[in-house]
Amino acid sequence: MAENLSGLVVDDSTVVRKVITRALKLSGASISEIFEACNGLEALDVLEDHPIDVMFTDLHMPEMTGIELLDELDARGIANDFGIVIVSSDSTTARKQAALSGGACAFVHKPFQPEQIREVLEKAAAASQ
Amino acid sequence: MNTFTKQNVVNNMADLLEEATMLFVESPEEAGELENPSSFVRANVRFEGRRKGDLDIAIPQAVLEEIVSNQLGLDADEIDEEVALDAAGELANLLAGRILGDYADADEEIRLSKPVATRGSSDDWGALHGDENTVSLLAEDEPFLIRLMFEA
Repeated sequence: MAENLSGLVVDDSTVVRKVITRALKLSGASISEIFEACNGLEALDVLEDHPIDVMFTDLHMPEMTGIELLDELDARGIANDFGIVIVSSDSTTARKQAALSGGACAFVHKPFQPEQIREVLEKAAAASQ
Repeated sequence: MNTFTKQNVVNNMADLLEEATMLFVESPEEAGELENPSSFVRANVRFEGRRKGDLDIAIPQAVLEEIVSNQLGLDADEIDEEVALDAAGELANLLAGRILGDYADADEEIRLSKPVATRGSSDDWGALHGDENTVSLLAEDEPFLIRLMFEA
């Protein structure tokens, strides 16, 4: 896996952001920085200032949802610049397909085990190469 | 709430707590008389799909602290009010998604509101506990309430 990965965790729940961030730090991967955002709009702000390698995002968030964020990344032409993982309790087929066709490389269903985050991190990091 | 739905709620909460936090629940019948918790958080999620309604949980502070510490590796004194309320809301959100998924058709879209979590009062506990749509559980020897209400 690439070294010194930079990550972004997007979720409106403080606890979920902390859990994902903790799982990433404990994954054993070489991670230099992990940014956090409460929704899609905040995520876009982070992305304007910081290049990242992987992004973990929820789907249902206020202000800008995960799907809207993927659409905006696509519109800006940066959807393929980093690996995107959806972390959501909503795994309805339509939503999952929308996320994966919108540029996400993996889908993690909540609640998740830390090992699942580590597994998809490798996939997301590879997608950012 | 009918017997089938109550059992579904209990099973989903038991699975959720075990998967997410390694906590195990038991039914109150297995543990005898329930005592009201001294401090608890109440969280509500409203849902809309082919069925509409509300899911409420009332979760004792001690159980919340156990959940958060298991997930985040924090000690109880490191868990502030924001994190405690957020954890309760997230738990209600996850539980609603699981339970409703059991009733939804494959292509059905279920919209969940953002959870609203507040510190509960003894009146809140009494009202929830006395509701026919509420089931009681025990987690970490503490009582735990879940109310699922479908609109007619």
